[in-house]
Amino acid sequence: MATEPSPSARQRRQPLLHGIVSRTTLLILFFAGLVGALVALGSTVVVAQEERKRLQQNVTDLIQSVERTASVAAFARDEQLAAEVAQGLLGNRSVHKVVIREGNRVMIELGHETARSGRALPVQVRPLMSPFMPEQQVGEIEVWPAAHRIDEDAGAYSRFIAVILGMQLVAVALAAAWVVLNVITRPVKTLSDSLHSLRAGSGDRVPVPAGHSGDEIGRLAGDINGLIVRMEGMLDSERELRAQREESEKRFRLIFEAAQTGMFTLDAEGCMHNWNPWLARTLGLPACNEDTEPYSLRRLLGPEASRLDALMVRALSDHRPAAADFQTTSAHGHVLWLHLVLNPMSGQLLQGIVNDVTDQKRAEASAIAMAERDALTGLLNRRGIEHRLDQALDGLQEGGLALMLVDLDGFKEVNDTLGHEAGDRVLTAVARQLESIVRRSDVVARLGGDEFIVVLGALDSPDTARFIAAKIVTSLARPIELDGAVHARIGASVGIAYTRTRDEMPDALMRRADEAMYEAKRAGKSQYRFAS
Amino acid sequence: MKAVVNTALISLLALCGTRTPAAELMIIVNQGSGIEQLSREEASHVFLGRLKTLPSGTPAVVLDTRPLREAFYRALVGKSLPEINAYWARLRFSGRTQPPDQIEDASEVLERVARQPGAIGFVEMPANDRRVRQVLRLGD
Repeated sequence: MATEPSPSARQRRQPLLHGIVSRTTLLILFFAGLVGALVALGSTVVVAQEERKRLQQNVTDLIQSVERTASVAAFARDEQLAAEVAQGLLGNRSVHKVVIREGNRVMIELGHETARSGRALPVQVRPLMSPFMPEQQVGEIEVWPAAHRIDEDAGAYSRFIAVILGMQLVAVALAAAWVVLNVITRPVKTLSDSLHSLRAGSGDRVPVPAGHSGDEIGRLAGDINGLIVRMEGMLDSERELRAQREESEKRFRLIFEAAQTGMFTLDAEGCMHNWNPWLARTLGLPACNEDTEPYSLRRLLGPEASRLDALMVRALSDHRPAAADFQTTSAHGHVLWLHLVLNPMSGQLLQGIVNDVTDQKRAEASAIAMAERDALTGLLNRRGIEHRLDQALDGLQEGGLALMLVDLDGFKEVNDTLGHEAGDRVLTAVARQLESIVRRSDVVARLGGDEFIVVLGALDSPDTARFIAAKIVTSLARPIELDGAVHARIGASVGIAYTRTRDEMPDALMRRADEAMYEAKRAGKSQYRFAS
Repeated sequence: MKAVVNTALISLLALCGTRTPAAELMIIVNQGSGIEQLSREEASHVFLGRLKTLPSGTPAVVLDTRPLREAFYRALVGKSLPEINAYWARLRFSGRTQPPDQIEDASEVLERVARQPGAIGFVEMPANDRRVRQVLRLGD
């Protein structure tokens, strides 16, 4: 109230100040004016009736007061006196016209009739009796009341009432306006202004207008303050909740982004929608943000996409996580082994976890390779040859397969005379010679001791096997150079088992080669034999 | 008691009255007035100014005999003298109707009636004067 509000604020607040006051004043003026108008109208009617009565009585009284003189005038036929009487009557404002007759003769006629018919009052006629013989009529007096005066008088009276009522009305309206302004509008405006300039969350409160602490306005201010307190409390807890939510969201995002594990979501079409930076880095995907297009995991896996489909179907139908390993190519072009776990979520979506298992895979592969090799010669050992034999038989299509069992002759003597070390060197040399004789696609293995196996694949005929066997026998019959001048002399007996069908069991093939080899030994060594 | 006193007073007045103790009055007109008789109503109209002429048409000259007025008007219209005076007072105001001339002496009344053709007056009975005509006798 003390500071001058800005023009815009004043424009906004003025209607508040004058709204209730002007409305109340106008309403009071309207109703009081209505009542006043009704009262004035009613009073006009009543006053008019009273006026008529009064006028008639007035005229009657007037006639009575001049009756004797009129009688004398009529009796004496004195027009002058009659005229005096008539003028005297007309001098009164209640009288409009006077006629005095003597017998049938009009002695005097003064005034004039009014044309008003509806309002006209009856003409008052009084017989004039002789002053000396009361039973003898000498004439009559007729008096027309001034009916038009009634309207004038009644109108004037009503106007008077209207003026009084109007003054009272204005006084009441002003008083009401003052009361409304001071008792209602000002405090409400004070409240409104306080509320208007109140800054939410600042801890401000609306002051109770002075002198209104006990009434409705005070209660209103109290309720507003209560509301403000509750609102601020809600705002605070809301803010706190939001901070907590943001904090935990940040934490989860950090987990997601910093994880050294791939994470993504997958739809039923095999397209990834969200993935973390690790996955993007590892697979060379674009960084994932709001606008990233879905990326097809099926395309990424290439030929292994059908296995991915199977995994997805399994996870979705079993409603539990399913896992499998996939081989793919890294961003740098290396072979990459990924362990993929798919976890079904709601709405046909899958959550995917990816781990890089390339190192484990490699370690596993080398462990397997180690287990299948002979430590001394670097050839496949028994386990390795069994494995490869199975593969070779499985891959048998065109041509035949020959299994040769090579047993060294005279190795025991070398071992006994030249020592184990020399024996080992002999075995290594034999291994190299066998490898040099066969093709790269063929397999050479050491079964243990002085027993070797050679598997020849894709043979046009058994003759090729015969030729190779002969070459082996010849080659191993030559002395093997050890240290300088020391040479070891050994030979080799070879048993060959030949097959063209993949139905041949490896064990059976081995037994046949073994029998053929013993047959060669029995026949005098350093020769080969074909199993029948 | 009061009535008795009043009666006594009236008797005394009657005794102390002038020469005529009996209230017998006669209305007289000029011999040439053209009327033989006058009704009581006609007489009252003439004497109270209602008629300005005698029934014959002659303008009336009305004469009052002052000492006899009281008795006359009482006999004629039954009114007291103050009432008659009040009546004339109203009319005198207009100036149109004049009251009768008031004459002190009865003989003078006789004289004027005898002389003026339209004159009319009243005298005490008996009025045996040849110069006037007796037209109405008033009395109990």
